[in-house]
Amino acid sequence: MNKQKMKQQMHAILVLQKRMSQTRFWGVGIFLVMSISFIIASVLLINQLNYTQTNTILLEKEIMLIPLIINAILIALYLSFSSMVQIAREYEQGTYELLLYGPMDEKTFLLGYFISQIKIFLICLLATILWTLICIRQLNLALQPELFLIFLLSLLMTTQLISFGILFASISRNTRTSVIYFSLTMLFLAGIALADTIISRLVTITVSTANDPLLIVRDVLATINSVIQWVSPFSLMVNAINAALDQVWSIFTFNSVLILIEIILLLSISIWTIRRKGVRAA
Amino acid sequence: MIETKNLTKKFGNFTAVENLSLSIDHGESYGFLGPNGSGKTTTILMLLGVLKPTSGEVKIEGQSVQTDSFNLKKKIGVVAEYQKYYDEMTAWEYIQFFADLYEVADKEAKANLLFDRLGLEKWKNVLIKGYSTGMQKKLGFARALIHSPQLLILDEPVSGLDPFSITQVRELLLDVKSKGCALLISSHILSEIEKLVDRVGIIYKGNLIAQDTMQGLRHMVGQRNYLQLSFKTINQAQIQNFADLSFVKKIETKSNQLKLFIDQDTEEYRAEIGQLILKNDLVVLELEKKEPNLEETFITITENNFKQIADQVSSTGEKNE
Repeated sequence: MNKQKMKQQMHAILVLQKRMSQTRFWGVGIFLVMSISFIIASVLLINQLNYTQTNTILLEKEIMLIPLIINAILIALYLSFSSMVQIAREYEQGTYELLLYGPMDEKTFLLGYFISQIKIFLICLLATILWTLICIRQLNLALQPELFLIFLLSLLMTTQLISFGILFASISRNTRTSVIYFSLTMLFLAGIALADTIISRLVTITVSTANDPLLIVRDVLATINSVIQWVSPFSLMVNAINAALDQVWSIFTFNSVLILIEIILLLSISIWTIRRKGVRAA
Repeated sequence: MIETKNLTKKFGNFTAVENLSLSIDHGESYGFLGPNGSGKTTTILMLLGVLKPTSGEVKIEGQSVQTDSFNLKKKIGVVAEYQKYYDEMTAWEYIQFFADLYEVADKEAKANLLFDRLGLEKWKNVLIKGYSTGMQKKLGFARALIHSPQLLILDEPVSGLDPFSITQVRELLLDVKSKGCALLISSHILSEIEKLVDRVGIIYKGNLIAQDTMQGLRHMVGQRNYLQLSFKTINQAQIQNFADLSFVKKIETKSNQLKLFIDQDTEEYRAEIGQLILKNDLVVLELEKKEPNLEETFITITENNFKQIADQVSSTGEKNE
């Protein structure tokens, strides 16, 4: 690819991402989601502190971990949803076709959206870092360097979720369909992980015989979960965070690289899909 | 400016466009006509580099659209039949966004000029979703012209516009044409095409079946100018006297009206017609020289082509039997 074309592609990406970022910050959605996620994170943090004070047991090695993960997941879900809906709407209202009449191609179109969402998340991340520092100072907690790895991993997870959203929009090219499929997929990923955890705990408490049907359910769920773990952005992030907290750097690096590979793969499939489908429905 | 060579597009077994070759020069306007489903939009999408041809190529300024699409697309402006816009934007923001995309220098001055020419200056800060169909169409023209394109592709450019807006748009188009911009106009409103184009290409079932100036097309299908005479009364014998004139190639009658088809309208011929009127003691109510319009030419060409295809099919069927 020649230098001039790359420069022009970069220009198109920047123009599109600027418009998308402006649109996002003019709306109330992102501010509402950020407010809700900070309220939930604050409540979780206070509950954990109260529990620790009352029982003198530390539930997590890093007390900020769960509030920060929940905060990141909420913002990431919102951004992936909104990028998916906006891309699907571009197809529906024909503006995608209009953009392609000009100096833009399928790749720059998707990357423009992708980068705008990352940019918004980085701004949200700055707010999260500020909130974390305030909490640490006010509650007199220790500032652990692993916290910055959690921030980095939340960025990777968000990027992966946004790539999922872009893929769903590119395949369905319809707002309603993409929202339904994306929601079902996310519920499936989260549901399997949750069910696996619950059933595993139930089995250890209630099962008395080796032929108990609960054991079969646990084994099935564990098998599905072990497969999903390689794909689910939530699982990959949690695995990498746990590895970082335990300072097992090989697992941390492995999961982080896996997330990056999946991001590239998801974006490549999205670009290939919209190129193959063309500008109009056949 | 733009040239296509043997452009072909196939969707599976269906051939949408076949071996289409056309060229348009700077400052030339080209009417691209064809019935619904004839391959006009497919051709336009290939010209824009949005749709990849199965074979053949599109060149703009001698360069292939497929290899240098970003640079070449900046030279093209498009007004689509249906306007596409962002709900949440005002007209001004919309135009500025596209000006940024096309890297337009002095974008605000250019946008103001276009809003002024199209009568949209009062509404430039209004959300586009509040615009009427005609206003949205005019905004489409502003968007297509903001980067001063060298080729303007117009799909049904005047549909949805009131007569005053049509005049505004026509003047704007003639103005950009005079500055060297090539126009490719696809429309079903043939009377409007006739006012704007220098040459016409007719596409039918994916094939470019005719391509010439208006006069050339008329000549091609054997359409002639005619004199239309309306009499107070006229009988069959008197009609026959007109039909016997050596320069009259064809005659059509409708009650007391005659259409005399001639190759040329000369004083000599008119004198002969005048003598015949006097000799037959006829009272002339109206005499008018007429030439076939684009609509008649278009219908004749596409009908002739349809008959040819039908003949081919039936002869093939007979052979098979």
